Amino acid sequence: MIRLGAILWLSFAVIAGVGLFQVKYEVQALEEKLTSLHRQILSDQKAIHVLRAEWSYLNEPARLTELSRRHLDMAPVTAAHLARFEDLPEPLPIPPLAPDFVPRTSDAPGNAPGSTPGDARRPDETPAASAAILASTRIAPKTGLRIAQ
Amino acid sequence: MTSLVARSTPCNPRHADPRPPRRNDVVHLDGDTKRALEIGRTRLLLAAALFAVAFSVVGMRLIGVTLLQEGGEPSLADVPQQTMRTERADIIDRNGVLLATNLETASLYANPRQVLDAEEAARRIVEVLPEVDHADLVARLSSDRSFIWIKRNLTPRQQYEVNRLGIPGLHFQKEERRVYPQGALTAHVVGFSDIDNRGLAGIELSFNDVLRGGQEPLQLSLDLRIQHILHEELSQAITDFDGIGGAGIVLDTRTGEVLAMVSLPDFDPNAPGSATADARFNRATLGLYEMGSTFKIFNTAMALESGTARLDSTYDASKPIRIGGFTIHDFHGEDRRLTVPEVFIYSSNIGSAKMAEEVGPQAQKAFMKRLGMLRAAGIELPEVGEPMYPAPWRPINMMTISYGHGIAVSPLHVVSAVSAMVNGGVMRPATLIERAPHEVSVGDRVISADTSAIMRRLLRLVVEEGTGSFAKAPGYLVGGKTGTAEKLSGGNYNKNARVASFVGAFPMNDPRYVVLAMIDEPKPNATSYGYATGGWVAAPAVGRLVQRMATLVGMPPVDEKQEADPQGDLLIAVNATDQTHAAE
Repeated sequence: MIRLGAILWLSFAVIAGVGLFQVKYEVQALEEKLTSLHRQILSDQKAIHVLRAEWSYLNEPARLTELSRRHLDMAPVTAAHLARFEDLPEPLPIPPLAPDFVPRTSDAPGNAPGSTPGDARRPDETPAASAAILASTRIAPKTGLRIAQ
Repeated sequence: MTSLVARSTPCNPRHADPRPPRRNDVVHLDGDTKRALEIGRTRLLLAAALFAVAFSVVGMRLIGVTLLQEGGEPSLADVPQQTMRTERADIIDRNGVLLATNLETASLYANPRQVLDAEEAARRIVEVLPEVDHADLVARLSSDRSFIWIKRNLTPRQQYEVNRLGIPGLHFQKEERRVYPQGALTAHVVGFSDIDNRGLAGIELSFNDVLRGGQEPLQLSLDLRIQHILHEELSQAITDFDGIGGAGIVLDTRTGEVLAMVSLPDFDPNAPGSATADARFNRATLGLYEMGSTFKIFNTAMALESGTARLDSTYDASKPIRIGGFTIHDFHGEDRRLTVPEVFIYSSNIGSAKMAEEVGPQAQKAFMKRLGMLRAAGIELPEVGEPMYPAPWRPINMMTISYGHGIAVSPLHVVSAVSAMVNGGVMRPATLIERAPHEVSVGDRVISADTSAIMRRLLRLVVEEGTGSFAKAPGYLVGGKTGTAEKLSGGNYNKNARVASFVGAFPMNDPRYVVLAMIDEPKPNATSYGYATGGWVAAPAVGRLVQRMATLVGMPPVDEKQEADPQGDLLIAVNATDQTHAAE
C-alpha cells in the first residue's frame, strides 16, 4: 500500500519534472524566437528608415518635374481646368425606361461587349434622339469647362 | 496512533469490517512504554504543528504573490525591448515629407598589424573604393599603428563590397550622418548640422535641443510642393532678369504659418562647407532691404486708420517735395491732385509723403512698431535681421519711410505686416512650425476690419489697373503692390542696382495666402522694354506661382467676369477713382 502511494507520488514527481523541463525548453525556444523577432523588427525599422529617406530623395519635386517633362505629356492644372459642381449645367432628366425594356447581358449570344451600342437602345428610340442625348452630355466643351476629377 | 487497528484495505470495501473497533480489539499499553509513546506523540504533534504553521505561511505567501499581488501573467517575456533610436529626430514638412533625417553609415578603418599583405589589401580596396589613394593606403597599411581610417561614411553598397573582399584587419565603425533628401530646396529654413550631429543653422540650430532630445519628428509648416513652385518661379525670374539673388515667402494669413520660404542663391545642406557665404545667407529673414513702394500699403492703412485721410481725400502730387536738400519725385508722374486710391495705384511718392505728413512722425513710428517693423522678426530661425530705422525719427525720415525708403527690414517683416493688412487687421507672428487649429495665435489687432477691407480693394485695384497687372492669375483675384527700390552703395542710391519686389494676397475677396517675391539687382532687358521694376520682374513670378499653387491647395477658381460678389466688393474703390476723374 505504501509502495503504491510512493509509486504514485514518484510518477507525479517524474511527470512534473518532465513537464517542467518541457515548459522550460519551450519558453527558452520562445524567448529565442522573441529576441530574433525583436532583432528582425529593429532591422526592419532601420530598413524602413533608409527607404523613407530614399523615397523622399527620389520624390524631390525638381526631379519629378524633370521626369514628368521627359516622360509624360501632361501640363500643370490651371483654373481653366477646374469647375465646381454648381457650375455644371443642369443634367437632362433621364427618360423613364419603356416597360418592355430588358437590358441584354453582354454574354448573350450575338451581343459581345464590343458590339454596337445600338443593340441595347430602347426599341422606341430613334437614332436622332440618341444623337441629341449624346450632344447634351457633351456640354462641357461648349462652355469651355472641363471637369478635373 | 494508539489504535493499531488492522483495518481492511479501502481497495476492497466489500471485505471491510463494517463494525467500529471494539474495546477488546484495542491493545492497551502501560508503564514506561506508554510514557515513552506519549512523549513521542507530543513531540510529533508539536513538530507537526510547527510544520503546519510554516507551510501555511509559505502557502499563504505563495497565494499572495501569485494570485493577489500581480494580477495576470506578464503579457510579454522580459526581453530587452529595442526600438530604433537616432541621435537626431527627423524634420518633416506639413504633409509628412522627410526634410532631414539621420542615416546609419559605416566608416571603414583598419588595424594594420592584422593586415597580412598590405600591398594586396590596398590593391583590392582601391578596386572597390576608387577614391582612396593607393600609394598612401599601402604606406599606412604597412605602418606599425593599430588604427587607421580608410574611408568615413560608406554607402551600404560600398560596405557590402568591402565586406565581400574578406580582408582580415578591416573593420567598420557605425556612425550616424545627417541627410537632407530634398537638398537645396529647403536649405535656408531647415539649415544644416555638423559631423557630430550638432545643429549649425536654421531650424537645426534653433531646435537643436528638441531634435537631440526626442525621437518624435519635428513638423514644419512648410509645404514642399509650394516651396518647389516658389523656388522654380523665383529662379526663373532671377534668370530672366539676370539678378544676383532673390527671396520669396508664402504665408497663410489665417494662421501665420509660413508655407514656403526661399532664398536664392542657395546651397546643398549635405555639403554646407562648399557653399559660399552669399549662398548661405538667408535673404528672406536675415537680409535687410529698403522695400520701396510696398510700404505704401502700410502708409495708406495708417492714414485711413488714423482718420486723417478718407478714400476721397486728395493730395497735390503735381510738384516734387523739397525737404532738407532732398527732393521727392514721382516715378509714374501724374502731375495733378490724386485721390487716395490713385496715390496708391500710381504709387505716388509725393502723395504718400503728404499722407504721412498729416499723421505725423510719432504716430508713424508707433504704427510701424505695432507692425513689428522695429524689431527682429519673431520666427523660429536664428538668422533674423534687426531692422535698421532712423533715430531720431525726423520729418524727413517720416516722408521717405512713407514710400519705403530710409527703413530697412527683411522680406519676412513685409509679409507678416501685409498679412495683417488683408486678413481683417490682426497681426500674427509668422511661424515655421505647423500649428493645429487650437494652437493658432490670437494675434494683435493693428487696424480695424473696415480699414482692412478697404486695403483689400486697393490692393486688388493695383493688380487690375495699376503697376501689378502682371500678377494676374485668372480665376484667383490676386491683389498686391509692387515695389522698386534703389540700393544704397557708398552712401548714394545706385540707379542701376535695384530691389524689385511684389507682395500680394489671394483670393482678394477672402485672403488665404500672402505671397512675396523679391529679386535682388535685376537688369532690365528687351522683354521688359528696359524696365526692371517690381511690376515687370516680381509680379509675373507671383502670378505664375498663384496659378500653380491655387490648384494644389484645392482653391476653387472664381469667374472674374461673372462672379458679382467679390467684384462688387472690390468695385467701390474703382468708383471712387472714377468719380474723381469725372470731377476734374
